[in-house]
Amino acid sequence: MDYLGEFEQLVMLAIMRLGANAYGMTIRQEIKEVAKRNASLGAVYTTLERLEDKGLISSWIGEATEERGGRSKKYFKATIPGEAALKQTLKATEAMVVGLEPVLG
Amino acid sequence: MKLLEQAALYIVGTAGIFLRYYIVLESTNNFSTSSMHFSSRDIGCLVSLALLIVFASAIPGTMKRVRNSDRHVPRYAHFLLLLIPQKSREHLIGDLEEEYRAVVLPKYGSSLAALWYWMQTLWVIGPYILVGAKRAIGLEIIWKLIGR
Repeated sequence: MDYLGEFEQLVMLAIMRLGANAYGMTIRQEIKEVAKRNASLGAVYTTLERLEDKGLISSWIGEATEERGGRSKKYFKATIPGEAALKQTLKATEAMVVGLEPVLG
Repeated sequence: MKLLEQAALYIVGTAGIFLRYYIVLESTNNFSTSSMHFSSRDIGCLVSLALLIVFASAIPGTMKRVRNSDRHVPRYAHFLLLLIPQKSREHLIGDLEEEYRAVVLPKYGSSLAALWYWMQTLWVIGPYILVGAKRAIGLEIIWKLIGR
């Protein structure tokens, strides 16, 4: 099973937090607001493409709006293997943190 | 605002000239391909000129932009986005335009919003150029083999 990289974890978590409203711009905003990390849309999209190639997320095409210059949105959703990979990665991180609470706070 | 624009132009111009002479002084080697020969001076000039065009076009009044209203994104930046692979291009540009019109333009005004769009464009195409370069020189396969 795949383990996720640090930024892949952030993108997966943002997708799960946003639910049905997860697309490029909202994912970027969610990471910026919650994780206080300023990521470019290019970085978000290359990560999304990689996760989709691995089968960890799926996508579907949404509506086009005037605000977007008539371009359609691409929505993303975590797949079951994606959720499993995220759980496994977070568990591994948590296990590594055990015993380091005095240092990490 | 006018003073700010002039200051920005002065800084960009100085940076361009500095870059040009830095490249000319630091590198005396000639770059060549099978059919063309470029001196380091040529490359320095091209880089500084490109920098000047990129930054100056983000400042209203310094270059005439073809647009009907402030709601239109900077045209030259838009051309650069054509470097993005077709698979993601439409959605990515749509996301960028949505954020520009819905969030950045109302919050910061047209000058800063145009600058934001340019910065985002350069940041957006960066990862794609990196991925393309890795594929081109075979690093992608090597990274996969060593488990990156």
